[in-house]
Amino acid sequence: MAEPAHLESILKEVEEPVGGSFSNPWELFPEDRRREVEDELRRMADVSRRAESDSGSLRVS
Amino acid sequence: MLSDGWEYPDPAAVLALTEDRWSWLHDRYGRGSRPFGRCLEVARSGGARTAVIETRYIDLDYRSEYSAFYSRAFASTPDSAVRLHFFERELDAAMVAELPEDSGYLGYVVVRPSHLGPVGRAMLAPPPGMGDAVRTAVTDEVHLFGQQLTVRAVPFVQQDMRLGRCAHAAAWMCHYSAWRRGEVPRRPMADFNLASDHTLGLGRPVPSSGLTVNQLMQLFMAFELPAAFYRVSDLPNTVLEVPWAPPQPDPPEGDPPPHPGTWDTRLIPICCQYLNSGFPVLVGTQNHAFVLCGYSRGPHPETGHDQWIRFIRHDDQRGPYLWVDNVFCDVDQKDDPHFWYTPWEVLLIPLPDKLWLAPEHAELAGGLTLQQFAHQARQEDEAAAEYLDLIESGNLALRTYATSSNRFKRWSQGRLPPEVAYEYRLARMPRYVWIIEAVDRQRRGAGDPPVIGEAVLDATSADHQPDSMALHLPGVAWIRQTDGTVRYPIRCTRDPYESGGRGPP
Repeated sequence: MAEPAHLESILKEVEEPVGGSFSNPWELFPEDRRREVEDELRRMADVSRRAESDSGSLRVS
Repeated sequence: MLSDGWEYPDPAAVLALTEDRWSWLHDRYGRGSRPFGRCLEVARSGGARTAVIETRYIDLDYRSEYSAFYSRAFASTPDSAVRLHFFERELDAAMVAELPEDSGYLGYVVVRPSHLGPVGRAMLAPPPGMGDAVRTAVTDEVHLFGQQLTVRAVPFVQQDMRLGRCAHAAAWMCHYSAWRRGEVPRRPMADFNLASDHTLGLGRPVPSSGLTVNQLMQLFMAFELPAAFYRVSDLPNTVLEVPWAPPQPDPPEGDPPPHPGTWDTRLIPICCQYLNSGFPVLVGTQNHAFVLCGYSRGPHPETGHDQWIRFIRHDDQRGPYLWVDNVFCDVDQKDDPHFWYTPWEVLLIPLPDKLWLAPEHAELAGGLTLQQFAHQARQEDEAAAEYLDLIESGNLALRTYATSSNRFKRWSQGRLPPEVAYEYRLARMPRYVWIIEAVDRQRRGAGDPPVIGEAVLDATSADHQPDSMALHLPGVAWIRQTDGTVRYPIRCTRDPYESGGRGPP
């Protein structure tokens, strides 16, 4: 259903893209590069979890 | 001190701060306390010429300690505190009830009736020469005889060595900051003992022997500030080669190998990312805890290296606003024997609940996405390739900070190109965002506006796939709306601008 005119967004129009567009920044990466970045982010998260599991008994006073 | 006119005079006295009076203040209220002495030093270096001694001050924090501990002890202890206010201007008694607007309020120190830990809550403006480098200051409202005063400062407190120890004091400093940022309800000092889970440590709750890391994490959880956690010997790193970060540090040789707290430089940017966001960093050493509240970038005091980071700390046993000249050889030489902070063992950063994405993940994804974006955006405006040029010349640095989207939008006006500020202000954003700014090192070094663009990331997105909501480089910006449609290319001016993080970049 078409929007009534009085509900048009207050955002100004953006001109049509000239050199292509993209909806998700991950699409910017070539497939193999994207996989590489995702693997790296997963590995970094694993390091953080390991650190958390081994430090709880240190006492500061 | 405890029986000698603690509540005298009623209601206050005004002290013109001559050399003798500074000494008198120290003797009467500090009794050799080093943190108290440092508080006086900070007020004095800020130009204090008058102190107002407000007696029988009913302080929420001390009152909580009195109820939980001092009222239960055999010895009599006053149930009130004293609050010392410091002013730049010379004031006489007649002026205190009607303070002039230019009184130059520098802040206050609440004094407990305790020999072991006299400094209760203290809010003192940073000393001259340190102001810009202090990044976690909050604004405190103060009421004195029906007049409202304000001070912008980093909260400080000293442990009383009975109910609270360094861990409680450090946790309180972080929490009071969050309260003043409007993120959590106020918690009085005694709660930092009473609400901790004593089954997670081996010591008795009272008198306290400190808190374990597990207890601190639990405490922050209970106080609605779940903390990010880092172990210095196991810092998250990236093995991907990224053009803005220095190479991974190699451990020096040794048997046993030296502790990473003596060489692992990755520690520094992690602390800076949180300080850029205005969040204090609680550091745990092998037996002590303190709070980082700022940093400055400048030449190394010995080697002359021009990008050396010096941190600023609040140490409940030594006082507020103290420089950390070298994180890797962090030693207090005023103590006898010298006190070694090095090696730092853990970092805890109490954070707003909805800040889920970790900064190192945000920075890696944001920096790489901007790099890819530059290739695409240069088709719209060649100026966007400046990001790639900075990589090529080795002049790209990333500056990462979290902020509320409200603050980010507000600070975009007049700082970012107007076309981009307009788009950001009308964009739907989560409560918190991570901003990864592209900084030109040369412009930064010259003191010019150094930022050429940024990625805006959803702070509730996943560490495994941080979500960029907006990308901006010279001449072009991209924004994804919540219905998935894209606004691109948003054309904009190309001038560099100031950073939106806390303090100088």
